[in-house]
Amino acid sequence: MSEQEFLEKHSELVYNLAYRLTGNQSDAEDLAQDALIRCLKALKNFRGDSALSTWAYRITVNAWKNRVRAEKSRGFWKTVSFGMLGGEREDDEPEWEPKGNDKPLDEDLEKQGEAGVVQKALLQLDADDRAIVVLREIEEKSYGEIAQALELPEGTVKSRLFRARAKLKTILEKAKK
Amino acid sequence: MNEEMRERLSAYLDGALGESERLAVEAQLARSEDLRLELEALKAVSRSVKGLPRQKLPDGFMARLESRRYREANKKEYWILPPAMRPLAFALSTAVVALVVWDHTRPPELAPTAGWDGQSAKVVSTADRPVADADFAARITQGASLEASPAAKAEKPVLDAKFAKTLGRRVDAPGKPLEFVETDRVAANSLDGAVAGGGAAAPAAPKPEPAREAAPLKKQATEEPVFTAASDKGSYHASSEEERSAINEKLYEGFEAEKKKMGIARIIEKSDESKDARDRSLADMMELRVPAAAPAVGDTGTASLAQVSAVRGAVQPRQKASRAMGALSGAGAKNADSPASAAPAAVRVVTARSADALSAAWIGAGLAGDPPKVDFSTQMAVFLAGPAGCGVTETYVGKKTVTVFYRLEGFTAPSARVAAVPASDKRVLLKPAP
Repeated sequence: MSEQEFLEKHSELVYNLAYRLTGNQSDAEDLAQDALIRCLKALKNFRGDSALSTWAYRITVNAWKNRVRAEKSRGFWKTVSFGMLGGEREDDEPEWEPKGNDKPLDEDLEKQGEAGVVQKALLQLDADDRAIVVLREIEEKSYGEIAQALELPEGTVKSRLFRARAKLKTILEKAKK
Repeated sequence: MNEEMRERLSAYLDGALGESERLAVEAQLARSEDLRLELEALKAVSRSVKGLPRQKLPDGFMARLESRRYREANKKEYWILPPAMRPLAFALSTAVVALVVWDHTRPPELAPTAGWDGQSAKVVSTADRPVADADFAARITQGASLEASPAAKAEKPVLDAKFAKTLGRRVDAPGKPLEFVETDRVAANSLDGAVAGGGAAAPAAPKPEPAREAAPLKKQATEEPVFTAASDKGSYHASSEEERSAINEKLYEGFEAEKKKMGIARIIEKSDESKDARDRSLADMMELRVPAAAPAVGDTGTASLAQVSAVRGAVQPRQKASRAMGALSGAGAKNADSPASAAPAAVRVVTARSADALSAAWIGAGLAGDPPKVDFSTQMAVFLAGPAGCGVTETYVGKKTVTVFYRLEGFTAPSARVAAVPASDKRVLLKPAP
């Protein structure tokens, strides 16, 4: 498959996954471009042991998890907002504020309606659980394909999907009250 | 309804059960209203997520992707150091610049003749005291190696073995002890006519003498050794061992003074097999700066090598921890960075960029056990030096500064004094927790 063909077939799939994983457009675009460039670089080495889309999903999820890990290690040591302490505010701002230019998702929730509530609920799942739910419910991948994409045993996918759904159920029920 | 049944229900929803399991679940569903309600709830969640709208690619996405691919494919190849190496490279380049600047700007009193008063030994120009081996003489005046020519070696006793042992290794650095060589035995009275060098300065490197037939020296029954040493700054002659010792002592004092001014606590020789020399990286050494004042805990930021060494000495063995604590905390501290919220005199913060530096601060504070592990490849440790019970409450990493909040009491674990923050060159501030 040529690079152009790959991009035509998989760009939107990768972008959709990136959007559901990150929750906002600018981060999704950044992640999707990062993932697609990695896919194009590795395309000639693709061995065909999974569907090309599954392979692309794996690269996308790995790229996203690397970002999550980097963010976590920066914020590992407990920090406080300087303004909360009531002292003289310095010129400094936390380094890890989101870079996205679009408004925070919360501000659009009213306009987005139920979709916004569900997206917000998704963002409360941890990295692997979020990826499993999106790949199952939105991309309609089988347990086996999800296991390949995330490099997890199939049994783990099954139990984690169940727990993620249970958690989403709790969050959505609370949101409706 | 147990957890296992619920999990099977989720898989049933996805059509992921084997035939026998599917039939078993269906039988259960037929019997149980709760199970059916649970299944409906799962379906509702699934529908909610499936109902999220499909996103189209944003306008211009493919163009931006191509642009980014082009930029990444065409960016210039620079040799980029891994992050862990950058502090070392910065420290080395700073050290080179500092050495060059120092070399060009050092005041005259740091010249190698510091301490040389010319009174304890006679400085004799080789032009005034001919040496039998003209070749050897020429080499001395040019500040060459002390190795005598083969002819000179064959004819003259060059070095007394016992004498050589006391000299140590010769180094060609100003102020280092010089290796004196017994070049000739001449009559004591022949030296009286020699020119005694006055003043503090050794003669400037004498001009090379043309080789000439040197008159043989008169040797008398009473002979005294003449010791000659050469360095790149000129020649030194001593007419006795006492004079030789006095010369070396003066030069050594000058060398120590130079070291103090440069802020060097110890020069590590290549043969030094101590763990300190082997393991401490140059980055660690160069980063540890000595404050201009006499040893004190000094500025917020980095511990000086002298301070750490002094504190180490104070806590060997560990029973001297209280003395070490005094050394660390009693030196009077003002928070130079933030006078308005100055830390009390008992508390300082020290930055450690390596396990050795953190250990040194830990031991220096007289703390038991080992300090907590820090990943120094990406982080640096801030260590709170202060009274027992103090600890770090939080850290805040800003764009330009790292703020460490602390309390003076209430902590029982010594590890509370250590916090890890992302490695950077940012200024470290110390503030009491609100």
